[in-house]
Amino acid sequence: MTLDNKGNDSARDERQRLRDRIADLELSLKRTTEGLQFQQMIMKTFTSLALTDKGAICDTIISLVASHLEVAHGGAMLLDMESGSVVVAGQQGFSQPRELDGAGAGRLWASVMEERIARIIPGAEVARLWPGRPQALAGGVAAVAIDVRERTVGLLFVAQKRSGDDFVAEDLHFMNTASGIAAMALTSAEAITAQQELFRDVETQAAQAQREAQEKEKALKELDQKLEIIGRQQLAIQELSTPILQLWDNVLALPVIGVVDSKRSADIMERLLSEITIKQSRFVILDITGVEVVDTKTADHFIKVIKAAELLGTRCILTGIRPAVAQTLVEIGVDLSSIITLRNLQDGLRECLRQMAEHEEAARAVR
Amino acid sequence: MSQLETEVLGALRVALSDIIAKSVYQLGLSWSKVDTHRMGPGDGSRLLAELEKGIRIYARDPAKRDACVRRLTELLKDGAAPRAEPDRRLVVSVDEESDIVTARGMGRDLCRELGFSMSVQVKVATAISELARNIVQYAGRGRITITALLNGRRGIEITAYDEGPGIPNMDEILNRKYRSTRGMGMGLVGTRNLMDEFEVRTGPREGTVIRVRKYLS
Amino acid sequence: MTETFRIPIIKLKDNLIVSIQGSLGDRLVIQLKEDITSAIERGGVRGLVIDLSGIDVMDSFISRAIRDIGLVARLMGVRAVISGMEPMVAMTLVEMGMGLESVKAALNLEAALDMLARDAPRPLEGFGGKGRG
Repeated sequence: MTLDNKGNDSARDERQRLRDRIADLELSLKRTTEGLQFQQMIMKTFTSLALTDKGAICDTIISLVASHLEVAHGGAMLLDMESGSVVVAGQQGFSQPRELDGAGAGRLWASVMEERIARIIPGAEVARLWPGRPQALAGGVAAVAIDVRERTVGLLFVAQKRSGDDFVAEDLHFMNTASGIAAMALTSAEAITAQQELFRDVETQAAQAQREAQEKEKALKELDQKLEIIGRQQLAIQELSTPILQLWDNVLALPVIGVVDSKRSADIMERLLSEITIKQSRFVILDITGVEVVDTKTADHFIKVIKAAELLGTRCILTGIRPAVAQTLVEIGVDLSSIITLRNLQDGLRECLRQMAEHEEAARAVR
Repeated sequence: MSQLETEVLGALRVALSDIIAKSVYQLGLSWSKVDTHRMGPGDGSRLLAELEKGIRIYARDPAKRDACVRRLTELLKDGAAPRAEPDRRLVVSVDEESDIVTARGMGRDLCRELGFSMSVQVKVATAISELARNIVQYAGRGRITITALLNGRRGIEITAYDEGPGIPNMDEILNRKYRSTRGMGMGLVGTRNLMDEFEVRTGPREGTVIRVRKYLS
Repeated sequence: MTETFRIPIIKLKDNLIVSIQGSLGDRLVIQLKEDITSAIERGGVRGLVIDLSGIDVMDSFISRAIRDIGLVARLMGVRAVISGMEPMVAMTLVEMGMGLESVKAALNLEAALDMLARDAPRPLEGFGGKGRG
């Protein structure tokens, strides 16, 4: 019986131990599963947020970790490795972030960052390293370093489970994973930032190019406008330089000044002929006092103008041939014999008046 | 999006990321002032030149860059792009005297449309009249084409075709050594004087082709 | 131009007036020459006015026809004057290197008739009552 009892007792104990072990394992499995699920959620959060601000990353990771591990306090901090001072911090449960960066805190953090895997630092150890620690850390912390590309840049810690329980191995696993996620978030933040900078560069260059193109266009437009103005001025000058004057009833005068090329000659001819038709003028005096040089081509232009005018029924008189021009005309053999040439505009007008008077008389005689 | 646009963007993506390809393309368009929906001659090479600048700035891989430029050159080399504004051509068959008036009236209308001055309108109409009358008098029948030159130097081109006996003494006529009793010599010389370009091809069995041009400026 | 069409010739006192419109063809030119010469032959004609205000394009054929008519008329003792040529037509003719040579020009029909009256050979003094005084 006793034996039996004994045997029964030991068997019961054994069963109990096994049961406990199974319960432990189940709990562990549950925690691990929850941890994994939570990790996935954190991963998703970071991926979709695509955070680039390191402070925001720290805040996010610690709030997620703290809510999963059900702790009252925690922090995610990036430290300047040389001075040991906190550069960026996200925290949970402390009244102000400065609490984590008090005098002496550096020693605790340095100790955390010596190890790459998560571990539990008991309250006594915390007190030894950082005598002025906040009250929240008195019960010890679970902490892990954050490594980005094999370099320790900061750490993650939690303190005081709300349940009052101690930290367990699964919590440390979770911390390890969280540290990895933080590292990943920080790395991708750098990449995103770099990418954004690249995009900004491209945008800047594109904007610059756009501006240049617009300036180019503006310059071209201005050039066009200038050319148009020059064109208009040229037209005005052309008309000014060869004004068609009504000297007398039935007498038009065309004082030509400067160089006569084909284009100007065509313009002069078109305007003069139209004017003759409109005014029905019987005489035209072509005065070339203002023309310094006459070559065969120029002479040809004048002869054409005169011939065309005569086809309309107008008599043409050429005046103001300069001595040098007269000599050139003779030398190059231009024949102006069919054209009435006179010394100046006055003589030309006198001749017109004389002819008109003669015609009047002839007409009277006929009547 | 035009077919050409799609292909150009595709070619750019060989060497550039999507967003940069789009930027380079947009910039290329604004620099070259080319509209891919209405490509004229010279537009392709202008756009190509601008795109190349962009590719040289942004493409990192030389091999991909060269491949990209090669593909673009294929796409944009001159002649590949369709003409924006085809030259407008009118054809008048010239069989009798009344066709002379029809032909020159059409020529004059086209000149007015192109923005020629009154005096040039009359000159072109006179030249067409000469050429058409030549056909009626010497070949009996033929045709005249009047083309508005819209690409490159703007102007008008008139071509007179006939399958008549040809003009045997063309050189003499143009050198004003010959005058026909019916005035043809003066007509051809006069036409040459009125126009900017004058070109003639004639032979005893080939008939005669006379092509003249007058430019807007 | 139809077979029956002829350019009308107007006789005003001792002048013939012809107004050419649009286009002339071979047949029309021959017809016009015949009509003018027979009109001159009928007598009492001193001048001929060819009014060109209706012509907007004048090629070498038309200009030659007009010149020929002028020459024929002159050989028959009649002075020919053209009138009313369009300015652009005159410009084109000159650019082509053509002229109407012996045919004189007047600004308009009235000026042409005026010119013919003025330059007409004067009747002998004392005959016909048209003399001076």
